Amino acid sequence: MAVSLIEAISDRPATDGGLISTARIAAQHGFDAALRFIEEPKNRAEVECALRIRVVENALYDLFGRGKLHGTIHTCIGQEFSGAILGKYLRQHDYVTSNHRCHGHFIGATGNWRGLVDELLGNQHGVCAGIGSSQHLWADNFMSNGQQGGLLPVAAGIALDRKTRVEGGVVISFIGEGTLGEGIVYETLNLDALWDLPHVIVCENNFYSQSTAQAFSVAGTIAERAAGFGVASASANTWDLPAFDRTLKTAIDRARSDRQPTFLVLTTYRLNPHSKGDDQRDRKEVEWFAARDPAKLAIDSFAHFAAKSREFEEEVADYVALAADKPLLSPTHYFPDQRPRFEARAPSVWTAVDSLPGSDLRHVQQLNIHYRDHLETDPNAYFIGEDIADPYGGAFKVAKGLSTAFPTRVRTTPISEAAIVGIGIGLATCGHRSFVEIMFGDFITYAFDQIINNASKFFHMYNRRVDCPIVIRAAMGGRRGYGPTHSQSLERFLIGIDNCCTLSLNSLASPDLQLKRGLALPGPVVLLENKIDYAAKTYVAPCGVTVDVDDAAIPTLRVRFSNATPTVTLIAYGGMARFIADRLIDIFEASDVVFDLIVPISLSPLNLAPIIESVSATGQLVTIEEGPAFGSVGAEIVAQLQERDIGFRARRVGGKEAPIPSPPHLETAALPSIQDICDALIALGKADA
Amino acid sequence: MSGTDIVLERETANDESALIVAIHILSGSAVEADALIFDIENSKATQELRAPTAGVVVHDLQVGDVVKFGIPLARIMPSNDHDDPDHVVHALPVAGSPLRDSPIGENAQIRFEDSGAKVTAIDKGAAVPARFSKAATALIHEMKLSPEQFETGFVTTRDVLVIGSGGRAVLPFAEVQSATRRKGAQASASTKTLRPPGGVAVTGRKRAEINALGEGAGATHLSVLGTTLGAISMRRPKGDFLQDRITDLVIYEAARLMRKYPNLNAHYRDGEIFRYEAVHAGMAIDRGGNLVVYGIEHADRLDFQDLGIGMSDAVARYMNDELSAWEMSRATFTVTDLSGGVLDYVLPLVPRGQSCILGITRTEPANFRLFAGFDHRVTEGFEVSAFLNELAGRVRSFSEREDALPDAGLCCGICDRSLAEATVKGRDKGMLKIVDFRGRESLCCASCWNGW
Ligand SMILES: Cc1ncc(C[n+]2csc(CCOP(=O)(O)OP(=O)(O)O)c2C)c(N)n1
Ligand SMILES: [Mg+2]
Repeated sequence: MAVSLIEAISDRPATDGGLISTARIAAQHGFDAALRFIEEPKNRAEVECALRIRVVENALYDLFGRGKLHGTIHTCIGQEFSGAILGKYLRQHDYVTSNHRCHGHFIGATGNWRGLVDELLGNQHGVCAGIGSSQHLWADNFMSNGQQGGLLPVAAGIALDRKTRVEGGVVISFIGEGTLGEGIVYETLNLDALWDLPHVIVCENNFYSQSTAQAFSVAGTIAERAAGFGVASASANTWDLPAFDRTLKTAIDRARSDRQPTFLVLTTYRLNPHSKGDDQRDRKEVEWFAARDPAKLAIDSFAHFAAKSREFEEEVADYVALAADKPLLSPTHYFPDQRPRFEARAPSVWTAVDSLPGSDLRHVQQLNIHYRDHLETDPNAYFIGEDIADPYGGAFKVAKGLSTAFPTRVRTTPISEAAIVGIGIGLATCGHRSFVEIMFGDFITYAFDQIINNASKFFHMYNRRVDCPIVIRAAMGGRRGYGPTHSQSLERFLIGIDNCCTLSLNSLASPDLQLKRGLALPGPVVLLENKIDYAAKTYVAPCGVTVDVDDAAIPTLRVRFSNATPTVTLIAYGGMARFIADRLIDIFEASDVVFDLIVPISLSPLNLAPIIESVSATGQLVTIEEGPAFGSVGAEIVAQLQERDIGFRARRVGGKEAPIPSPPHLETAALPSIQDICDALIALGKADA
Repeated sequence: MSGTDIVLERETANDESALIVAIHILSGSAVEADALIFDIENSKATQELRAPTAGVVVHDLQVGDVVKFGIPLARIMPSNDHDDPDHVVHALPVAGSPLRDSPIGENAQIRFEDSGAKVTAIDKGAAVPARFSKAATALIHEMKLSPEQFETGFVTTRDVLVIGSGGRAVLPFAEVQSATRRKGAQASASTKTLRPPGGVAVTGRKRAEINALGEGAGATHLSVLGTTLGAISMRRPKGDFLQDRITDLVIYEAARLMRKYPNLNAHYRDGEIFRYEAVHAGMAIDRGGNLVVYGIEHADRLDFQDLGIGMSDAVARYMNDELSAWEMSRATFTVTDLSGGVLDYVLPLVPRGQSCILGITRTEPANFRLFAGFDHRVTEGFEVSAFLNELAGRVRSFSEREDALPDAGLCCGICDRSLAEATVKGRDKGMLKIVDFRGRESLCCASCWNGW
């Protein structure tokens, strides 16, 4: 069954006028204006740009149809003027972000149609060496990504950078109307308005998202959504081109000179299928709009445009013909990531922690000083998060005093974990190391799209030209009675993210010692702090026990009994490490086992060297963590050691597979106890007999 | 028990301490008088330290350690007398602990106490008093040792077992490694081994054989021989836990034979063969997936009845999870009885610290086989074959098969009745074998045994 505007509307008479009239009336009324725009000689560059986009899109669509393009494309045929007029107002420091339907925006913003064609043909001359193809483009000041809405907060972060630069600059983001279903759009609008960001969001309303007519996906009125945030909204369409030109100029000017965001709804119509072969719309409806296609109008009515169009066609065809001889990106170039590599290192050199400068302060104060130092020495760094401004200073007071000391770079934010991480990413891509605080680690889940689809991917996807040095700080761990959504340890969901380091701090040594170069990494870092560590002072080992640190870029700590030979290696991190270290003697006495406690700080990637060193000597391993053992850090360690063919036997101790309850007796039962650890040690010993 | 201390004499007025630059003899090794033990360097010169007497040298030093003048830095213990190993053993430092007044390796350090207020200096070299795991404390008690024998370090049952077994019982844990690690040093460079004294270096021929074995396909030092025992029937009281088994017979006879075949009551380590003084027979117990080897202490000195009681006792305590680590690791050879089911063959694996394990199988309800798995580095097929045949003969002598009765020539040592006469058809009585306190064996018919 064909779905069309007309049908969708007739199902819902109340919205009839709202939809059909916008589309048809805009086309009907605007068509004459389109002609006026096209015949105006000063607009020749924009019209030619639209024709260029049309020709390139047709060529790509044709190649796609003939199976010459690997993957998928979404052409913007019918919507070209959106990108074509954009180019007219862009200045040097402006930035454009776009979505899956980005070819027109890309050509409009960069003019680099050749790089686009190569990108889609998958060769190394492509703008991103062919890596991401159609939806994942990057050029200086242009970025597109394939998840709907996901780039909006990144754009806001870039806008924050531009706002604070002398050179200025504005950011223009494109989304489709279907994307109005994503919450991230509203988190971004809210922040755009709160922080007066020079950000223009152009919502291309083509009345369909994939197969779904607008009546089924968008409630209420689009423009009022922005108005609710106090963001100026404007509307235009791709037929009345003079009006669109004026509206776009006004919006960009407002961003440039008044530092104000605008939400511009651009009514338009896509003449091709969403991708290919997936068009269920009423043919008559499509034909009606095809007859009012401004690009066709230019070609049909003006010989010089018709000639230009033919010239472009030949140019593109010639260019495509060259593609076969172009080099392809080598896998060896593509796969290496930005995370530290521990593998090549020589055996660890251990230094006693108590021989290094320490501190008598509580862990939270030491962290505070660490971040303060960072903000002081790096004038580009930002530090943002919920409730972090003074006098409150953050839920755990890590940020105490920072907003007073660095008012422009330390910002308290609304409760928008996804958007603030996105903003951090945007800032990071502009060279600001950004610290984003997730108040409770449990809520890092909101930011997963930002971490996984943006921060972790940019480096590879954009062919190694985009660094994203964001540090996402989160407080993990239980034993405070906060209950199911404020006590978790989600490391096991984080360690598998590509090109992203997951670091877990503990209070066995100072943060300075643990982080050394950890925060100078070029890629994203998830930095886990622990709630029970905050209040603690740095660990003081009992008599006869030493804490050592190795010399890796991100170190590993080792707690060791002196004058005794360890027969088991324990591995724990974060709050669990301190929990064990505080009960070392109890465990020894009850289990009859002398052990090494190895405390990694980098959970991903893992530095196996100190672990192998200990396990080779003991042959027995127990990993302990607060999160469940299934698919955990411990599971990964055991698997990686197994692959090294070191003879050893292992047990994993983890939390229970149920939400962490609040009552003390249940919470204690849900998290690993000394008894659990002793049981594992004894079980290993029995299996050894 | 006391030894002779080696004290570093002051050579120059300027120096308080000197540096160990070479160690020629490892702690735990035997030395001749005047043997060179250490090279030591002060600001002026290099000094040699030699053994004042013959004996076993004990120290806890590593190259690079700084030692102070006037303080004993090593001790020579009287040379080990094989009959009384306790002499040396009890003086050996435990778990790498330095002697109490041993030299200071590193300078004192400052630490913050938990309160943050108090600053105390802890002398790293000063011995931290020993700490014991609960199980270690219990075992020290059980083995009638004294906690004072452990001067410092974290003591587990492993350490207790090493000391308690005279440093030569070669339990899985006999490798005592010094865990004292110097700052920044690589872990591997700073460990050393205290070697229990009493080993016999293997001969050149044997060493060549060992090397050849180690390079063969499958590279193993394990070998196995087997023999058929035939039908063995025993008179058992009703409900006896061994019912129709012969475990106790095999243990009883094998333990006695160990005196004749000491290589099978021994173990191999680092080019040396260690023969155990005592015979602690290991009984493999596995009822429920947790295999343990219970060591029957001095099995060669137990009479048949005590052996049986000891065994059933051990099984009961095993079921209750009450066996101590010492009991489960003291065995000097092992017997594993797989005759619960029907099996043709077993390849019993020699446990750590042993050189021989016997496996019992049966092919028919009363038809047993006996296998000996052994460590080829300690013994060889010829010796084991002799042992096995002798053992089989002894076990068989407890109960000859009926068809073998006529030529058995076995008579009751009391009434002189022959086995054939003593055996009442269908009642399956046979004769009992009696071993007197001198180890002499004789037979006894059922009637005489029961006092009729
Ligand atoms: C988060 C997310 N969900 C689903 C998709 C799959 N998808 C790709 S395009 C699209 C429709 C987008 O519609 P709209 O925003 O109106 O843009 P248009 O295609 O009309 O230009 C969908 C659902 C996606 N890319 N991202
Ligand atoms: Mg749409």
